[in-house]
Amino acid sequence: MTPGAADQAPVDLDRPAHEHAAALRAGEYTARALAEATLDRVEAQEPGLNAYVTVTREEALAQADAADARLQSGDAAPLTGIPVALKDVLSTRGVQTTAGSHMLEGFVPVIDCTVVARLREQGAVFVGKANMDEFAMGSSTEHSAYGATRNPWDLDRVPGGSSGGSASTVAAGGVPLSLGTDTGGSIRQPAALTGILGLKPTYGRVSRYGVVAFASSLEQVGPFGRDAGDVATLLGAIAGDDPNDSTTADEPVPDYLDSLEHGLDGLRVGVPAEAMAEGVEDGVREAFERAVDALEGAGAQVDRDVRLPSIDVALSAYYIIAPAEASANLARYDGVKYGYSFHDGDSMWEEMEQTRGRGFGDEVKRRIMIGTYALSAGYYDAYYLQAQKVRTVIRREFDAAFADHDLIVTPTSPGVAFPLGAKLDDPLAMYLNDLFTIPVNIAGNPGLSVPCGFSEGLPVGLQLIGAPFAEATLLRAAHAYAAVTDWHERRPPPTAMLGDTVPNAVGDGGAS
Amino acid sequence: MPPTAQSFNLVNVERDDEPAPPDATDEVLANAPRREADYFRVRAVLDQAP
Repeated sequence: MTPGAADQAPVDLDRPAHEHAAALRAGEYTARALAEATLDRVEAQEPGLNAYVTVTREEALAQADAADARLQSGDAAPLTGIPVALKDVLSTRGVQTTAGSHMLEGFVPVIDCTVVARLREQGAVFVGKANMDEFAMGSSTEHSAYGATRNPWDLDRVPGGSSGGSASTVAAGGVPLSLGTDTGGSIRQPAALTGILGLKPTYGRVSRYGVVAFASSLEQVGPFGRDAGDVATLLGAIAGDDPNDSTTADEPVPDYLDSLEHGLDGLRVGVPAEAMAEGVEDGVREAFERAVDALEGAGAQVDRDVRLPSIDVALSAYYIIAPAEASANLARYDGVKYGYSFHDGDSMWEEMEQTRGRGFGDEVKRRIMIGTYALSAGYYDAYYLQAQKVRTVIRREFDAAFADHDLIVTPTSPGVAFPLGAKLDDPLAMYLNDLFTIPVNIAGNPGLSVPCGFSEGLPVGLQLIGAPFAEATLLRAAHAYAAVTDWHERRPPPTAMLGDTVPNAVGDGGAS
Repeated sequence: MPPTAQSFNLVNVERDDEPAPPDATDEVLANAPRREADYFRVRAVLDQAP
């Protein structure tokens, strides 16, 4: 029997998803009550946080009612009735999917992407489509056609990006779980800057079918959460081979919860000298060093002499490979089949130029131009081919490091959350945010950012990098680290989360 | 040094050639900026006198 509204326990939204799942099964409260409380908080935080492009209240409540029926019938899955936010790059059948771009305003996909289809099968409740840098290009979520997302730790600062909306709403206690995508750090860096966990799976671990494409050889969909168990559950739900994505790996998906309690004993952790690169803020360096000490104290064998000598050129290789792939992927936006379309030109060519010129934002245009140049006749060998050779070098260095280590650790980002607007005029400074995350995409390995302290009152992230398909090792280490520290339990000040009192000043007209 | 196009160097991935129902025409065309019958309408591609 589902208890009537009057009998229900109050919903504590700061609980992790697995506690909600247990409470739903025990009948403490219904999925409907959880969804209503979640939507009320999410809507109260908008538009101040601006974490969402679209909040889907009606769909969420219908899904919650279906989840309640399923819970009563006893065949509930781990995520049945659990509220989840989806980055607006993930196609949702019947719900607008913008990729943060004016180009896709009003676009309503006719399919669910595979990860959304898998969560729908589990009976998850989709709260809305999270804000993001346009086409996932950016590290601050300021490059969104729908305005900048803010960081709940300090509303005058960025949440990181490009999956800033997905990170911000989890950090602010809106939803326990969300999905983002990570092409060069777009899950791990916002997780670090908002004080939550965020995992980029191994390339090929999770299907990209139905995900608006940016750089196809680099990106993966992955989970955000507030503890390792929740991240493990969400990863398990979306991972695995997909006939609709030929780049998914035919590799069995383990139960990521099975090994969560195995601890750190005997894990070989490598700290590359390169992790202390110039440009790492002092407070980040100190938090990172304390985190390494804590891992050692909890039983890990720490080796401070690992070398990844070429990761300093990964950033350069990335800014050839990613724009090159983007220039090809974004060629499809021609105003014919869907999306923004300019109709007042004198010719087909003029209309197409105007469609692309008006539909895309500046950062997207910058990358399309760089990529088109790098791929043009006569330059292909000098740029794209050379970058792919660098990729081989980096991949081999990671393979060598993982021959005798289980984990490599670095700071996730060289700095903490920066003020809105601080790096908008300086693309190179913006790109340096991803110094430690980009090499992991170049190599294809999995990476997980976990909260590891504070600097100037703002969260710092520790990046755990694993061997290919060793996500279970990352989650196990994160769980053991959380047992000896309490950084993952810190929450932003509630006063900063009264979003409706804060004007959203940046981004709307293209901040300068 | 050989180039790396994709991390784990998958080659020749094929799936079974099984027919599946196509997407519904009206749903797909609902996103079309300009539609004519069951087609996407476009401007003339080749130059011609107006």
